This record gives sequence, C-alpha cells and structure tokens, in this order.
Amino acid sequence: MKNNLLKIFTKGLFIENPVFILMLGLCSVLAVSVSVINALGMTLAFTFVIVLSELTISLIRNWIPKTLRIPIFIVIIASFVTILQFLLQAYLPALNKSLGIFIPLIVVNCIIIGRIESFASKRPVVESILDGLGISLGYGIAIVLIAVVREILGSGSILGIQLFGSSFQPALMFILPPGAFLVIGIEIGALNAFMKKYNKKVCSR
Amino acid sequence: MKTNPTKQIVKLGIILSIYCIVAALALSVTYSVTLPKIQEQQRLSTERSMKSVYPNASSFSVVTNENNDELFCSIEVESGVLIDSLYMANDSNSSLIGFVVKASSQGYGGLIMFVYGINPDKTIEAVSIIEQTETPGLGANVYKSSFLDQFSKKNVTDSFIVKQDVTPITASTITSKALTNGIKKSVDFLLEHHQEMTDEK
Amino acid sequence: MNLINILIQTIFSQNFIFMRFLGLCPFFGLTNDMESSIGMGGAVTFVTVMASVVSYLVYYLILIPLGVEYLQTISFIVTIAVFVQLVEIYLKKMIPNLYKVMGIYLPLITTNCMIMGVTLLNIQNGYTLLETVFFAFGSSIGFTLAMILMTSIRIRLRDSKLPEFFKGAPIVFIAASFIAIAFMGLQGLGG
Repeated sequence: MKNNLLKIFTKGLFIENPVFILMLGLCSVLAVSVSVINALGMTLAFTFVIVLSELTISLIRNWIPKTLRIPIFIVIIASFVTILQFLLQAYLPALNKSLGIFIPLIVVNCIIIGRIESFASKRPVVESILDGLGISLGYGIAIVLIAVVREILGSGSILGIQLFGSSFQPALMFILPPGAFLVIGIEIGALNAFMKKYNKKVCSR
Repeated sequence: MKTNPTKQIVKLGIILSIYCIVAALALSVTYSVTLPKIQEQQRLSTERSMKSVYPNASSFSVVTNENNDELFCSIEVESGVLIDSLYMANDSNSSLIGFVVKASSQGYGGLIMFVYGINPDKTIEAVSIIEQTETPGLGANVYKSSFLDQFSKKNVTDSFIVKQDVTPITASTITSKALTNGIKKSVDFLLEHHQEMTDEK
Repeated sequence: MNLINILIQTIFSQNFIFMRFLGLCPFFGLTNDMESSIGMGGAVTFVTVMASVVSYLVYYLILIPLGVEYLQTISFIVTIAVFVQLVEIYLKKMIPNLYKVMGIYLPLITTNCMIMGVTLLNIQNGYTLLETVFFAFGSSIGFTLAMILMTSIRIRLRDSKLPEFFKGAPIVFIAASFIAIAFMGLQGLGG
C-alpha cells in the first residue's frame, strides 16, 4: 500500500514527466522560463491549482454525471485559478505581474485537465493529492532545468544574482523565444540519450 | 438520454447550474476577502512610483476642476497614449513642487504604465515605470535607470525623438519609442491646459 | 491603418506560436501530416474569431455592467467550451462534410491556450470590437502559417539521418527554434 502511494508520487517526476516525456503544458513552460524566479513562481501557481482541483474532484467524483464531466472540471479549475489570481494580486503582486497572462491560462493547461480526467475523477482523495504533488514536482523540475540554462546564458545571472563581471555580454538569444525552443530540444535529446544508456524505454512521438 | 430526453436535459442543466452557483459563490467570497488587500497593493504601487519621482513630496492630490471632478481622467491623447490621472505633488508646507502624470502607452508586448513629474520650470523631473509586459531581457529593460535617467531635467519642449535626443534601449526601439512618445504626447496635451492649472494656484 | 498593423503583427512579428508561446500543444502534436494541420488551422480560425466576438460581448455587456470583471477567466473558458460544443452539434447536423474534416479537432480546441489567450489579450489591450475581430483573425492565420511551416519541415525530417536520441520531439523543437529566429527578423514590421 505504502509502496503504491510512493509510486503514484514518483511517476510524475521522471517516467511520466509531464513536460519532458508527455510534452504537455508547454506554453507556460517555454514562456516563463526566462528566469529561475519566474519558473519557481509558476510552479507554485501550478501546484496550487492542480492539487486543489484534483482534491476537489476526487471528493465529489461520485456526484459528477458522466456527460457533464468536462464542463464541471473546467468550472472547478477556473474557480481555483481565479482564487489564485486574487491571492497573488493581494499578497504577491510582483509575481502576478511577471507571470502575466500565463496565470489565467493555467485553466487551459492540458496537464491539469488530463490528470483530472485520467486520475482524480476515478481515485480516492489521498492518491489524487499525491498525484497532483508528483506531477507538479515533475513540472517544476522541468521548468527550472530550462530556466537555469536560459538565465545563465541569456542574462548571465542565476536567481537574479550576476555571475560574471559587468563586461560580460550575455547571449540575448536564450531569453528570447528561439532560445526557449533550442534549450528544451537539447534537454529532451540529452534526456533521451541518458535514458537509452540506462536501457529504459522512452516514449517519444 | 433514451427514456425522456427533455427531462434528462433539464436534470443535467440543473446539476451544471448548481456547480456554477457554488463556484460563483466561492469566488465572490474570496473576492470580497481579498479586495481591500488588492486595492491597498495597487494604491501602494502607484504611491511608491510617485514617491520615486518626487521623494521630498509629502502629499499627492488629484488635480480637480471647480466642481471637484477629476480634471484629467483616462483621456486618450492619441491612439495608444492615455493620460490616466494628474496629481499635484506638495511638500510639507503644502506648496507645489510639481505635477505628477500617470499615463500609459502601447508598447511592444502590451501597455506600459508609467508616471513622470513635470517641474514648474517645464522640465521633466523623473520617469518611473509602474507596469510593463515587454520582452524580458530586451524591452523589459525599460525600467532601468540607464534608460530612464536621460529624461531627468529634460526640457518638455525638446523634440523627444528616439535616436536623436533619446538613446533607445539596445535592440528595443519599439519599446523606447512607445515610452518616449507617451511622455511627449501627454506633456504636449497637458501643456495646453497647464496655464489654467497654474492660474488656479 | 491600425487594423492592417494588427494583422501584420499577429501573423508575423508577434506570431502566437513563435513569439508568444501560445497554442503549442497542437503545434507539436498535430503537425505530422499536412491535411490535419490545415484542418486544425481552419477549425482554430473559425473558433478563435467567433469566441473572441462572443467573449468580448460577454465582457462588455454582462461582466462590466454587473461589476464582476473578476469572473473573466471562468466566464471566458465556459464561453469557449459552450461555443465549441455548439459548433460541433451544428456542423454535425448541417454541414456533415465540413464536420468530417474539422470534427475531430473540435474537442481539442477547448484546451488550446491560443484561443483563451486571444480572448484575454483582446480585453487586456483594450481593443474595440473591430480590432478584436482583426486580432483574432490575424493570430489564427499566424497559427495556421506556423502549423503549415512545421508540417513541411517534419515531412522532410522523416527521411533525414539524425542522431538516435534527437529523433522525434527534440529535433522538432530545434527546428522550431530556427524558424523562430527567422520570425524575429521580422520584428518591427507593422509598427
């Protein structure tokens, strides 16, 4: 039983990593990974929404008519996103500004609706919460890995602290859109190579 | 849906409405709880940027007409350039130090909201950015003093043309133009009304 | 003039896929063959334009008068979901041929972040109804253009020799990166 719960939690980290393996929810990942701070903030926002949505839907899963499930899921996710918007505006306005439109867009993040449809709407509460936490952690690992590379190369800093002298000219391209695509491409390639070495099967399209 | 479709649809409709009502209720509760805090934050951020323009000012008051209505409230000066409001900055003796203009201009990635001070001698005191959504690393550098400092003590009758008397941010001409143009156009508009504003004093 | 600027910006210099990172799921998931990418492009164009108009009306005629602007996120996503559902029912009954082409993409569109993004940006940028239509139309054309570009590259990539672990997704991202560089060269177009 314990083993099973652990499995639910850890599968999101690597084997079913939502970003690197399933390639879902890429919009927010690529857009906010310009700096590590933003990446952490986005992960926090994402965790808030997915855990609470999975929790709520798992609680009421027996009262959701099958034909209405998608609209109900959307209403619940959108409510939590709006609550998150209020909380950010009230307590973390700076983070709210730097993430901008990608906060309301959590509503249409395919990871969340995917996890709810395939997991939370069928499983008990504890498992659903663990699933949400695991997926969020996997999402966080991916987005931070991309952000670290982009911030070091593109702004010459990490967490806002300048790493090199003032004469250093950062490669601007990495904080611009092309850099985002390049970094995630190379990182998935590297992950594939790594997985192959350890003889694990990687699902890639 | 086989037995009685109308009844089924009504039932589903009622269930969906219940969910929506519960959601709306939850939202309005959170909204009313967080609203004062949100307004406080917005007021603070405007105040903070006004303070950064005139650190010595002790109070900022909205410029009003004889009926106590706000004189300049969301006036579109030109397509994309908006004067949000005009404040007077007073020192502790309540004598006028200058005017603070809160305005916005359409930049590259969205609206750039900013404040700047106009001194009585018709120079710009300083510019401060409240909010912007420009490209990180490029246009988003608009808030840096390396760019904004060139507006300090600049005469409002200057031409304000990017690449002539305003040095743009590297590789972000559009953002630089948006802010420069936003200042110039709003100043020009206010200058026409500046006379009556000073007369009131 | 402003309207033409909006069109040029949304198609090229601020392309939703390459510059704003919106609508990436179908961009990576559905660009394997030309037919489905054009079908998706058509479906997205139709839904984006209509949903933008409807959400614009919802915002200015319902949310603002009632003073509940904070319900923006939830009402827009519900609007899009309901709208997609209606389009699906309508097409199935009235134009079955078109439904055959577009039908399978419709459910996927609800969670396409570009459509939600366009409806939110319309409000954020303070557009008029006419500008909204142009913005929505331009962004969908930009989306379709990106889909077609990517599909043509992927068809050619299929037969090329690649390092084993770059096959599949990684090389597609890297190709997208190079197209994005080309699109960056168009920056400044349309003011």
